[in-house]
Amino acid sequence: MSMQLEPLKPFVWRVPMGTVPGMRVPGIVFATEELARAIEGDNAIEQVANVATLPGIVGASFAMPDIHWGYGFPIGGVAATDPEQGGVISPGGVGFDIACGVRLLRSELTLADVDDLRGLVAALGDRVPRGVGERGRMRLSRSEVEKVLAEGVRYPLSQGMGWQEDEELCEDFGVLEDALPDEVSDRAIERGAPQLGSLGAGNHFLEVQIVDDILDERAADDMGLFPDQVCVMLHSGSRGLGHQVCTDYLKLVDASMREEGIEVPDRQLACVPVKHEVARRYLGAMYAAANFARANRHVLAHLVRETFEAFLGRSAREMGLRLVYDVAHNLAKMEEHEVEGERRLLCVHRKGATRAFGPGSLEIPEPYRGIGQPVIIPGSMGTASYVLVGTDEPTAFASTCHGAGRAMSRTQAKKRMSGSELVKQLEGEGIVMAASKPRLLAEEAPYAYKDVSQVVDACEGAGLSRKVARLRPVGVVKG
Amino acid sequence: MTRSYELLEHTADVGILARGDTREEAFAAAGEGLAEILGSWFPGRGEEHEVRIEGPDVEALLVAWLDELLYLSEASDAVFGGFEVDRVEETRLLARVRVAPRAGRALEGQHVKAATYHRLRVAQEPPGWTARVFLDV
Repeated sequence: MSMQLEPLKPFVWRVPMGTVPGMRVPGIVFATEELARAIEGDNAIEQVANVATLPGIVGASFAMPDIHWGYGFPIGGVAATDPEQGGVISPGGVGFDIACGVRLLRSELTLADVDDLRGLVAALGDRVPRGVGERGRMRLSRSEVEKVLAEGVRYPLSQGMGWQEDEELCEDFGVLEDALPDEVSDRAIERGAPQLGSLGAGNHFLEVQIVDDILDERAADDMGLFPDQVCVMLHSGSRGLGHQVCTDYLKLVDASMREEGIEVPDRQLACVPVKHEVARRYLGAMYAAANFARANRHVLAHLVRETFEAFLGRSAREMGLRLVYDVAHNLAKMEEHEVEGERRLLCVHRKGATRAFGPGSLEIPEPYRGIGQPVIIPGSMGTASYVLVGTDEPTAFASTCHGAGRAMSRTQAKKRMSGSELVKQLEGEGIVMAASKPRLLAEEAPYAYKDVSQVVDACEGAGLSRKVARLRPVGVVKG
Repeated sequence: MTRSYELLEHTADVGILARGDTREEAFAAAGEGLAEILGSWFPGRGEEHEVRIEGPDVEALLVAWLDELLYLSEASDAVFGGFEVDRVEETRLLARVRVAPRAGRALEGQHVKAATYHRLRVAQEPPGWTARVFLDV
């Protein structure tokens, strides 16, 4: 179904009330003119309107410039609900890959310090478990998984992996304390136990990148970013554990919703009041899965440091392989926001959207309080990625985009070019490729995605975030 | 009995439209579609494993059926050799699934996170039954 967006002001578009029956608030989409036209051709606007029907939704059903058609929620959707007004929580507003996110490591190196880039990328590919069915670096017992679920990055830290400072430089300082590991099913624990420290498949990746352009010198300086610097970006999530948590609770929430007499236009929007017992359990289990996701990226970053050490023959500390930040883009959290002049505790769903708190927030690491929370935006494979920061006047409950956003289905993408042709093209552009399954690679081809530069420009234009640095890939490791 | 399936386009994900003479055959065809997407379809291989699922309605059973297969493939690191759905009632499903150890085979398939309720449909459409489900990949 194709629908039209109403222009409100530059970079801001409205999905009017009545677009679908039962909307409680309008939809607001942030986009450039060109992106808006593309969005109108997708089914995503109907999904923005569907989310606007959720009980207790506050302000608007928001969509970031990288919005595209998802299941239930659009990818790029942000919705906050007020528990005091019957507000609901929806597992579909988080998705199956709970706390999927991005971690950026910087270094004191430039490309000139890496004599054999191809060898380094191959070594990373060998060291980092990836792909379907691949087991992680850590094999955990049940009680160890439970510790990860409760302690997040503190558990691998206690096992001697990573650096103490990594904890502070992670969203929520590495752990959501309100996690309830007991609410995570045996099946989820069984799936997670062999997977900690594995990248996964699909759009998950590890890239060696170079800082290509500094767009905000002060913020870049506070993050330790400089031109030509070697960085490593990791994109992964909570693996099978998170998928199973969502699967389990979707069923429970679907059943409870019927009992509560709540109706939604798409069953994948199944939701239950935040104050309901099932919501309490889901929130606790979802937070636990988020802790697993952070710990997973923490272990992966440890493997990256080890690989650099072994390959370049210098210590990771000497090479300055420090964490810039780790932030999720599939999560719902209880957060305080100002609504109509008063602070209210809201349940903020970000499905393919990133939290972007402004300067001064106590929720962000102390070194960044002067500039705002870092936001890490992975581009599509072989294209630029960005580092952004939150702004002084946070918009859409302090949220911004999460990536380029798909523009083409996987089947269409594969028709355009074969995986091996794509590898050849990217290698021709000077990017070293290590992909375990070249045949599927074309699904993630750059042409299947929107232009990430336009997406971050739209975010800046709309006041969601500011650009700090652009990075370009020189090595890609894919599952 | 005949069964068939086709894969459906979706911007980020992929759908299965499965058909069968009966509801049971349509569900079995959906299983085959999933196995093909995963790259883990090795007809005839493996040992039979019994599956019993309960759910609030037939559509929820379809999601639970595919989620059960995903769990089986991941938790036991297995590939599929066959799907026989013996009974699909309003709130209950009985099936037999052939599973074999992956045994180090590199699977040329996609990773599938879960089956979703998005545009979910099970319906009698002469001459048989159809089952439509979208997967998060």
